[in-house]
Amino acid sequence: MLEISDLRVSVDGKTILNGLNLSVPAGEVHAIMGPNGAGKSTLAYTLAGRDGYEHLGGTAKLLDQNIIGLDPEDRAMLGLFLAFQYPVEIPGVAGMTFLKTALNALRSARGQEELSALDFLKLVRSKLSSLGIDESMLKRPVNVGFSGGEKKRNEVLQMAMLEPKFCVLDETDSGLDIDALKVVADGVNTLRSPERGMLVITHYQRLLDYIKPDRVHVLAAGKIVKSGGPELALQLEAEGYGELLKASAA
Amino acid sequence: MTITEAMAPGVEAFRPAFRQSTNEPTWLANYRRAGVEQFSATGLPTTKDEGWKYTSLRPLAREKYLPAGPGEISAPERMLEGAAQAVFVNGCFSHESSDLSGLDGFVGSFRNMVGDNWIEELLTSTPFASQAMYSLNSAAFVDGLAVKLGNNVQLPRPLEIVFVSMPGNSPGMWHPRVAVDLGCDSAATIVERHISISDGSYFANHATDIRVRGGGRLVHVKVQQEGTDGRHLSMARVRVAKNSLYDSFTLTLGGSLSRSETEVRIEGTGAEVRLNGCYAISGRQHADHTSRIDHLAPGTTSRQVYAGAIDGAARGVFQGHIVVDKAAQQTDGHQMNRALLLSDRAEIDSKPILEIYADDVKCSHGATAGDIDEDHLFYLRARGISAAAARNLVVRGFLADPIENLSNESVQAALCLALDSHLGLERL
Amino acid sequence: MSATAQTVADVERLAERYKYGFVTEIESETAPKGLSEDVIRFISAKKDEPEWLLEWRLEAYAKWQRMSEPNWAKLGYPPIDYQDSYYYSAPKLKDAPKSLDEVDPELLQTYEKLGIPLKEQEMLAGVRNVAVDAVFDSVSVATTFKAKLAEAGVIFCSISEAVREYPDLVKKYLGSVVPQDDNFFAALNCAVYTDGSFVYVPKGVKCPMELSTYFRINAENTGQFERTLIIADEGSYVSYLEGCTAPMRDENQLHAAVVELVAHKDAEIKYSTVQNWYPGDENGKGGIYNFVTKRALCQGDRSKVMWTQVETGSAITWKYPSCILQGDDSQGEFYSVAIANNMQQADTGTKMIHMGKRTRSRIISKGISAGRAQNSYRGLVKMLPSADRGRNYTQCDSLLIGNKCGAHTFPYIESQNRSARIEHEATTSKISEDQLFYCRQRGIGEEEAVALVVNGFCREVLQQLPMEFAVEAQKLVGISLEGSVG
Repeated sequence: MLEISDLRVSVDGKTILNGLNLSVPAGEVHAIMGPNGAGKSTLAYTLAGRDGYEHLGGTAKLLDQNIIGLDPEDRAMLGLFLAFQYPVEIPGVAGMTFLKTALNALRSARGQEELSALDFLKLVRSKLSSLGIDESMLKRPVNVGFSGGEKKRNEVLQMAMLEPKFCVLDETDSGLDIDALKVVADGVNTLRSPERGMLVITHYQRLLDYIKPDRVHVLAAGKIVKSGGPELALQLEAEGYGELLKASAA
Repeated sequence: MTITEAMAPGVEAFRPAFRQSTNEPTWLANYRRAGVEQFSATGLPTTKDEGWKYTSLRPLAREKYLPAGPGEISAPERMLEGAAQAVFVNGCFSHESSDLSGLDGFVGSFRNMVGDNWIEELLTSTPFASQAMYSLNSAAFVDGLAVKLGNNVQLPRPLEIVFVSMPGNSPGMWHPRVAVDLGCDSAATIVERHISISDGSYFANHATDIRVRGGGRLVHVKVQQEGTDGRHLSMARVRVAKNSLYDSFTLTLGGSLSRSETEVRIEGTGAEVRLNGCYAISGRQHADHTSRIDHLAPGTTSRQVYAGAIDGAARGVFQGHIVVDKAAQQTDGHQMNRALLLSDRAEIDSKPILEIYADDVKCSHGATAGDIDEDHLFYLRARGISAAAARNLVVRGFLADPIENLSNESVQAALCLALDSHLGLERL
Repeated sequence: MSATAQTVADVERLAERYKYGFVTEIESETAPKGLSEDVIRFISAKKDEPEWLLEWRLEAYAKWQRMSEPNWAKLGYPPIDYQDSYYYSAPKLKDAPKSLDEVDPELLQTYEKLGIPLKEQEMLAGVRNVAVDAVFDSVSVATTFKAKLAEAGVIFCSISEAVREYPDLVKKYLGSVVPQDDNFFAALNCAVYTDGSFVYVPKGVKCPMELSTYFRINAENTGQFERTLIIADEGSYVSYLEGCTAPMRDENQLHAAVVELVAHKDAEIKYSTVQNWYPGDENGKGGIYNFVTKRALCQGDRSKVMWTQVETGSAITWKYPSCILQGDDSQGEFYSVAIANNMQQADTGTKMIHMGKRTRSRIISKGISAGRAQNSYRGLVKMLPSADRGRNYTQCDSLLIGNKCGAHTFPYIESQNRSARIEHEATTSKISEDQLFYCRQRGIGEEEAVALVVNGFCREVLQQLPMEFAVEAQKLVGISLEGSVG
């Protein structure tokens, strides 16, 4: 579903991703782990098409279409969703308005009719209740004054509403205590499906206790240096990145 | 000297101050002539001029000032321990009272150094627009101080420039000029003090030209304690280059009419400018703080915080103008003016302007005006402090707040001391 | 696509952006070109005015001739030739229409096209509960719901009609808030104003519906000089909204209005403006020069005036809706969104003059600059010695979209009362790339993302508009910024 091949990206003239290869089939959840500065967030932002990430070479295909060079909204329309490490605050824009605008933009791109206000509300309420989120959250401006946990739950809610084909979760565990982490992970797990791929980017193994990955990849110095099953994450937790990096450098 | 242009009203009164140069260099004669012409064309600014909307110079026009001569005094007490002192009496340099030991080659009387090329360059190749009172100073200055540091030099001692007013029986005026050229990666601390040792009416019209070159750091402090019948105007024009710091503070306590005006051009990336100040005025005092900062290069910073306490029938004026040029992306500019009105007849007029032509900027300003916060007073009184003492403490805290922004701690301490003694808080 | 086809498509797209740019073909009667005592006499005679009003106009004209155009605003435009314009243009009517049914169908159609139905039945069927006074070029062509309003005792009519029917009220209040020689453009308006709206809400009456005036400039080379006078008597309430549009023309057209509001004891006036005059094309050709004097006198104790404006149109905007807070405990509020795109220039803000005790004012200004536009906030907050415990809070925020525009803030803050408290804050920043990226990641297109973020930025102001207009204003914000990104 997601095929990344020899991807090379620089930021401010400094090469961050340096020949990255990765393949995530539909229905699978892959984890990317790596030390600080390995290029984890760069990968997430490059996939989503943020400005300032210069493409030096390689491809990233979502469902056989190369998404490099596309506008961020066009990637979203192809079904890519990025759960932000730091969800952005948008003052004055109510969560409800934001979600409705996004959903209808995606629907019209898919050739579907825009939802009426009433149908939209029904849909939102069903998602809210299945995720156990209070409706009041959507009456407030997007992410403004939200706690870390609320922000991440808002990301999961958006994911549930927009029904993307492929999700990238960038350090979703950062800034969460254990209770909030469980709630968010539960939400993500309900969205796992045979048609959907997920890439979970994290520094710590902890998150993977709750979102069980099918494969684990270690990202260091801009490329995948090791891949393995879920046991790789446990090994990293026990030994740290240092040992592994030494081994792979040798 | 002949004046061909028709003179604006009020110019005649200042004509006695125009310097008849006999043995000055040609550039200076031309420079003075331009000053005479510019001042003659406009005369004293009036409240119809936007920049002088809140400060009327009518009191100047009413008085007949004559150029004053030198006087003899004993060396004034130092504000900063170990500081060198350049002392001026009625605008004339006093060798006897000054102590510039250790600063040879760096500091000298303006009159003696006027032949130097750097002064010519500093004064004549200026990007600043002409301004009436500065032009009057150009036409009239007799003496002043010149400070020149080459590259990579630290001024060995802090320098106090002490302007002592000793007016005689008839109203006197003087127009001192200060020039400072700080070389690359050099550093200096300069404290200007304006004090008065006898009663009487006078008009001091200061002009200062400053350049801080790449990586230079200048701490420039002004303590204005003019006499009760003193009128004080000053104009400082400052150019700062790449990665340099111009860190200034103005403490205004004296004078019946005063205006401290600063224009800064931030010409190099990474440069930072701090203009801070506080003022405590009462009676019929009028104190004006006006600034303009032009951000002309990317990635520059400016910070301004002013705090004022206005008592009696005094009037405070704050005008701050930040201009961000198209080229000055990533500008970070902030400006704040807070004023306490301590009496029913006190007045504050504030005009903080932002003029922004680049988009990637963070600029803000704020202004407040009002009486002392009753909650603050109550808190102190609940702890057993008398109402009067509590009031003094709150005012003192309010005024001292911007002093902390200064990068030099010993100067901070000296400023606090000067403020405390003015407020009668020595024993606290 | 060939270059020509591309150009045609571009032009069409542009025309869509300003969807009110059409011209109505209607026969008009105009005054001779230029300005003179004779033209003023012509206007006065056309309107069958009483002698005192003609004298008042001529007096203003004499004052205007001695005044000069203000130049302190941050606006640049070539000198205006006041002799090169028509000062009166009115659709030719056989007889004044006695009822709405007699209004020229061409005019009714024009207003329908603008989204302002003048047929009362249609209005009642819809969600809107709004009475409309429609001003077309120099005259009012229709006022709806007069009968229903009359039942409540509310007078809502054109100011020309008010001069005829309620001369004492007009005589008492006209020029009482904005003196004839207040400023150059106000003086010009006094001399040549042609029509506008008049509202009187009697004691204790809460006006049963929203009132609105819809201003339309249609004729070429013609200035519009309207005059609005609203009086809210003791304990009354009225909410009033004005909307403005004009055809797209290559020449600049002058619009110099005067609006006076008087709020008596315990009265409240809500005055909202959605100003969408033709802004000119993206190269700055054409567009309305909008020089407007708006002032409210909060005369009575506990009176309240609230100005809300959404300024998206005009090539030049010069406008400072103000409040004189005379009554004790009176309140003034100013909520403003000003959007300047392409070559537009806006210099707008407010004055809050605190005179009475415990008077309060609040200023919320949101300026958005895009394209090569210059947008300035200019405001005065003044606490007079009598304004014991007066309060002001001001928040001015500017947003820059693109690096060729400018955003400026010129506040004047003057306090002569120790117990008064003033707080002023202003910020300027560029539209957040992070916010735009976040929206776009969720599938929202770039222009829509800008509209969404800017609407959020303006929310505090837009939510002050009457509900019926808030949605339209939000759309207008998006439309005004089209072409500002990418």
